[in-house]
Amino acid sequence: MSLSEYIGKDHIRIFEESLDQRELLRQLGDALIRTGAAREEYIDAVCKREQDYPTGLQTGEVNVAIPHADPEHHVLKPAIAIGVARRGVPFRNMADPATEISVQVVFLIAPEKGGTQLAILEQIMQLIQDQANMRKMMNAQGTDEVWSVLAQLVQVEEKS
Amino acid sequence: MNKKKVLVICGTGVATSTVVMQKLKAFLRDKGIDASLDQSKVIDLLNKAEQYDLIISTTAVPPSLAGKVINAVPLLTGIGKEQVYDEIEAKLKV
Repeated sequence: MSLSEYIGKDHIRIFEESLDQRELLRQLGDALIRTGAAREEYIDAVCKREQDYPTGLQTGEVNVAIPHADPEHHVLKPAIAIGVARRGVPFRNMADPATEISVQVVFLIAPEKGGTQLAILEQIMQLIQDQANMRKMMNAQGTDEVWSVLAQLVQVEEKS
Repeated sequence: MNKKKVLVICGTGVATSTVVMQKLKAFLRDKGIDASLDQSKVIDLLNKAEQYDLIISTTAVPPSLAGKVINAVPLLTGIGKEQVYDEIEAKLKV
């Protein structure tokens, strides 16, 4: 299993400007739609789920969110889109939905039903547990650099 | 010792609960604890909760269940996970 099967360079977005959560999810979702990983409906499903079950994680200096929804009917092939929001995007806290945190790195997951492929999510969890990694992603100059941080960490061959 | 029944839940029963499930399986194996594990989404708690000894959740749950629920978000972030594992072990070894 290789991370490159789930995250292509064209699944990575860097946002220099301020934007709200819905706009961020729309743009990340768009990356998945363009590459044939998800249907348009997936974005709405994710936004709705985020209202009911928020996914913001307080991990330290660089906070993370892992928005996702039920894959049924909306996910065509499992994939992950990554957004780096330099100015932070408000997400409600998964552990305490009454509070809001500012998130800088977002992993939009379009999972496959069944779960075996979600070992990849485990790798993401490993990744976010090291704040030095998250800082590198946060400060990356472009999507290539975000990709190379990921590639190094999961030790996969970079697909050209 | 009766085999304990554990339910792992998240909002949709798909992503974060799967990760917690994998971690939990490895932990129980290491500790030699024999428990039965199921995975579900939070909405199913309403009719299932009473069948389980312990509920491990990455999402907010109805306050009425607070007594048997452990918040599993630290297993995702790594922050404070030892304490969560200790809590799980304590509940399952009783």
